[in-house]
Amino acid sequence: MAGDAEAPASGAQVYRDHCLKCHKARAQGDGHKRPALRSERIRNASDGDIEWFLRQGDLGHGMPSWSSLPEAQRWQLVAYLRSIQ
Amino acid sequence: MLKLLVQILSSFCWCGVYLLVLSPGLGRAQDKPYFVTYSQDLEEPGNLEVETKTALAKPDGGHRYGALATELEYGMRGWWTTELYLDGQATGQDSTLFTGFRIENRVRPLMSEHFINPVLYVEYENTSGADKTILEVVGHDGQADLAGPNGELRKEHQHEAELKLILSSNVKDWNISENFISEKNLGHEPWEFGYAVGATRPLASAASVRPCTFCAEKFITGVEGYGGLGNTDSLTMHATSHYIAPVLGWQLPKGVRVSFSPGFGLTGSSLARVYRAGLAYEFEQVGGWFHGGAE
Repeated sequence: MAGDAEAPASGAQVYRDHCLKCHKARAQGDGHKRPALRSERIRNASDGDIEWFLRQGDLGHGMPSWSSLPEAQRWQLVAYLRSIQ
Repeated sequence: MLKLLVQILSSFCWCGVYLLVLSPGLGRAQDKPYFVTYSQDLEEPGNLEVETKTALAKPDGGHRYGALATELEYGMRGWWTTELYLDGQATGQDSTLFTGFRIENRVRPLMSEHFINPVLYVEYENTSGADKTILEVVGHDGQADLAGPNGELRKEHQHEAELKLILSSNVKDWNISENFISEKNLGHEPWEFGYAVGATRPLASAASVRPCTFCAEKFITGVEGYGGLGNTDSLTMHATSHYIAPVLGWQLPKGVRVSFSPGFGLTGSSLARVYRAGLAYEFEQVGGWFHGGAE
């Protein structure tokens, strides 16, 4: 996805469909259990770390595993999250 | 026959209208289009999915029928989903009746993702013998069980406990799921066993740049197979039912999902064909409606 100029735009569609309700339209989170995705932690993480976390989720803290999303869509989502930092 | 079809289709359509009208905004339903098989997907915490599953069939020696299961699925935790099913059916040249309810819970014992992800399933079922939804096939279930008149079938009460071991993997955009089913009538009946297996894949992996309804990634296709494996008194495949069923799911805008599946019986005990249709909508963060914000 690194060379795909459209990946962030496609990732925005994936974000809208799957992430927006919890993490909000500007990825600001809800200030409570759903964290902001414009954060130092995301900026410092590698693309691989973010994709791994999306695949794993954190069931104990309410974050679903997104292993059911096609791999390409997870990488598009990573590209989108990168683009909004 | 025409009257029966109209009854079933109108209830199906009205469910869709209610879901669309009541929808508070964007919703989402990501489940696989299986009708019998369960995958590792659980409901997201705080979300409520409402789904109808319709089965249309005609047993040998019986009348055509349509059975409707309405499913309310709520995400209690990231690792725990609870569900309530309300079942009913309408049989041609016979009657329309409510056939009972089921309560089920699914729990993921492992918090992280593995190559094979186990899910434990526990269900209590309080239905009558007239239930024809075929949400699972166990023991020596067969089309003869579905052929009698409703007046006779409804006299049989089924208080049953059902346990399933769900094993599911997401590999290279494929979902592959296997379910091992054991069911016990809480009266003095033997344990009955069954299975369900399925595999699905979206038609395209990558998302489109713009919102779309007919893009390939909005369609998931695959196949499922299910059947009975006898019971503790007769642990044999003799006189058991088995089905193979292609499945197709379509993710529509506003979080509505529809699914279709023609099923084909593989043995003499099986129904020759079962046509299924599903309609689902996910209400997001229902808990927040009562607390003035997201949970």
